[in-house]
Amino acid sequence: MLKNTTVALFVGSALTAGMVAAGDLRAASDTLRGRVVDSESLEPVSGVRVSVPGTKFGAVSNAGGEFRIIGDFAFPVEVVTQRLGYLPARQKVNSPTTVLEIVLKPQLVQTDKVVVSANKRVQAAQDVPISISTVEQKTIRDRGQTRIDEALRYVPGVYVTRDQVNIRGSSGFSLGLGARTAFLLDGAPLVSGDNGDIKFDVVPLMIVDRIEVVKGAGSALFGTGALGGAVNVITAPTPENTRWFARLQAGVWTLPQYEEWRYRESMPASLNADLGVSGKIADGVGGTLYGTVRRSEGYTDYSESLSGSLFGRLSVATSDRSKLDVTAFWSRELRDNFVFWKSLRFATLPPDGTNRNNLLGSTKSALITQWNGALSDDVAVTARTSAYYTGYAETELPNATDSVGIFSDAVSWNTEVQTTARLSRDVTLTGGLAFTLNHILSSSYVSSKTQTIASAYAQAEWVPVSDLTLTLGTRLDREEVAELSQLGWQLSPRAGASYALDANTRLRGSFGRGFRAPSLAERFAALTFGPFRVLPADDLRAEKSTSVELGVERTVDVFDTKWSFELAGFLNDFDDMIEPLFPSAESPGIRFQNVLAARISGVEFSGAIEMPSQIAKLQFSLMATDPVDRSTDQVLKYRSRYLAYATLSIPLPADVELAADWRWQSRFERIDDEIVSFIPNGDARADVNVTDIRLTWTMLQTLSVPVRFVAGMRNVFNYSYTEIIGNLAPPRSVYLQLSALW
Amino acid sequence: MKTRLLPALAALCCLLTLSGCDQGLAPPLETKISGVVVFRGGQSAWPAQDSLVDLRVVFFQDYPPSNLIGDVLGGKAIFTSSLLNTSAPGGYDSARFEIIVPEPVPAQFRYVAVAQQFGSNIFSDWRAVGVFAPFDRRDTPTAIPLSTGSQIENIRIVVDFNDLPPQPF
Repeated sequence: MLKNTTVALFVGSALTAGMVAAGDLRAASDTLRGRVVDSESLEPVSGVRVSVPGTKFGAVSNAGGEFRIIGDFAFPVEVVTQRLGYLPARQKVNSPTTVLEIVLKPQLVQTDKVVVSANKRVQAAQDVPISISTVEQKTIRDRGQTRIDEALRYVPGVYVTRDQVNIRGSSGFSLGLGARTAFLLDGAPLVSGDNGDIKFDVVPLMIVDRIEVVKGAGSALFGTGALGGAVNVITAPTPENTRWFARLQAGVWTLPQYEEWRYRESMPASLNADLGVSGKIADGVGGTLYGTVRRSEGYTDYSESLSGSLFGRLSVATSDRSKLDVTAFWSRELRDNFVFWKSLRFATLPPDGTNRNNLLGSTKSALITQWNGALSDDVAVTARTSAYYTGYAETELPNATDSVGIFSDAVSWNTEVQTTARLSRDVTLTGGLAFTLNHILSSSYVSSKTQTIASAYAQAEWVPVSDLTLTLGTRLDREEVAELSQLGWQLSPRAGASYALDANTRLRGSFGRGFRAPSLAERFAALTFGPFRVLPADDLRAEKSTSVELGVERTVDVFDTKWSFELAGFLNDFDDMIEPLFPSAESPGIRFQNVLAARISGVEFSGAIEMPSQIAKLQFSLMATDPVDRSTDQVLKYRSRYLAYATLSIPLPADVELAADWRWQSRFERIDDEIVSFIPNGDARADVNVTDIRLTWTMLQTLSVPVRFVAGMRNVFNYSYTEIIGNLAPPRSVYLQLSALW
Repeated sequence: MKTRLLPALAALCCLLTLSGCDQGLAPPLETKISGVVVFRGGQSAWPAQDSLVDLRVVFFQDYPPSNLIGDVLGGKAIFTSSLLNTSAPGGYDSARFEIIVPEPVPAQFRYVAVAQQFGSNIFSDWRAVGVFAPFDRRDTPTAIPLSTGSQIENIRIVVDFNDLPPQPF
């Protein structure tokens, strides 16, 4: 139970917000009050049906998890709860003065997820025709993750290569230029205006409700960049009552197992601190303010970093059926500029002669305004505009504010208006207009550069017969770059079908097209990346992709064990893929060119097994692909053929959970041979084989304090591997985390 | 509870054990070159001590080398410790040498020679007195190919103070 003061606060709110059962209020004399919370996240749970068996009285918990039941009761009585995704709970009440605190345990296998990224509107995950994976807030917290790329590392069919999200093999390694995955924050594109890349540290993970990963070409909905799929970060809604959140996480990387890699005597440390508050400010007005600070000594020499970020949101109810959200964030990072190692023998040291006074400072900020409203019972409108600034400058110590002349300032403006209309009981139409403007001023360009993309899209969902949903849509994009005469037109159709064969089986199939307009940096940059000189390439065309997928999902009970599986076969064709070509006798520097036609076919199999009586839960995923460069019939560079993830969670007594995550990724069969001659031992690479373990203790029930404690170890076996050339991936680390939500 | 936990914990242990068998990448061994310098003619063929200031095996990345000091300072050449033995100042029949090649390891050393400092000027008073060239074909020096972690052994260089090889610098 929470302390009395806290309970009193909740009860006060409950009096105004609880949903009253349809009983006879005038005859009623007793009131049952309480709150429902999630046993692991301590978040209030809304939509819980709370009832008193044998009577007609009941209520549904509100957004704050609070409920109030008015009726005539013969105490003691028992209340029971029901909600999809949670195990039923029963609790005895001895008197009407008792304030209930009902703690619900999540069902290990959830089947009631909702998604918004499949068709740009809220719908049940089981109704969408495409493959979508979600990462929930609880998982992020348990794993002690602080960046979005970390959270994506266990998504089925996805692996991350430094700053590239690789969905089913769609991305390789492109020197940080151009993401082949669309990245959005609550639907607003968040890709930098210069490099067209994703900055994973801009959104504090603790405000995230879930991350949705759409697999397969998705430009029909998300426009440029959705070549291999899309990542949509969905933030948590503002609660009715004021909620504070604090988290402190400290960790160390253990000393390297090899003497040659020990560059310091003590273990390098990292520290993350988060503090946030969210709640109602006035009638119809809610707000969120969140701040984070991160300090890391890095696990290699010359890789220290310091960063901070602020995130704020104001939500105003503009009418009974409309809402305005204004979101702003700012993030600043200063870090050492470790580009690649000295050699594999001295893998934790930068090359001799590295200027250690050189620091890289980066700033990211955004302002996003979004209005959602219902024009009628059947028509909803969303209007959104956003400005996303990304800038970096190399600075020199000791006066770290002085730029040494290398800088970039870029802004990406995005505006979109979308309407969703239910034309009949069976047909829903979604359409919209979007406009993007990328502008950049950088030391790498002769003059400022501007790129615009105007788009129109529409799609229809039709339910012709029960259990069958058909989707058909298309999008037209027109890209224009100042200084270049040619216009780029892209037509991106999509089609899909989802059919529920029975209560436990669903079939789906989809077709989609994707494209990525080259970033301004790929077209115009003349810069230096480590030992390489990058040359401009203003003749680049957009990359294109086509995806076809067939999938089946099934849930079965075997010997009291619930098994849920998803099997998908996919075929992705890519044309005009842009790759960096390295120096040769003909070309003195790196130049991006449309050189590749590729085909990636494969199978993805994922599932979850929930053992009886909550003994344990096993989640796993396997992916096998055949990534072929069709121009040479060789395997594509920087792609893994096989990928496997597994997570085993074991609930222990006293609300303690033991969990282990394991990920395995086969070695890249090909990388750039040319780059190896520039970086000592640049061809050193291995399978990825990493195991993480953690122990989570939720103290709410045992100690009556709303605190969670996590002790974890990443890369338990200190497995050594590289994700990109000449860079060791993180070695073993240990972390402790304390978080509180009140 | 113990019975119920058993299978889950066993699975966890299996998972951990399986994934911990391999350690992935590891730093390669030090790259080493070792061998012997044989002095033809024995002790009697050694030059006078006042013309034998220093004697080392030098490994050049380029051939022909620009000059010994310039290549050493520019990171293009490395050398062993002195082969001169103070306990036998009059000379000896052979001397063993070993050198660790620093990182980054070059692809090859194209020219390997025994260099004698014959005067007091450390920048100019050097000459080659022996060259790594199998079958004693001293006019065609042989390269030593390398990769990180290579252990090159049994390099044999013949020195004849009375019949010097072609001078590269």
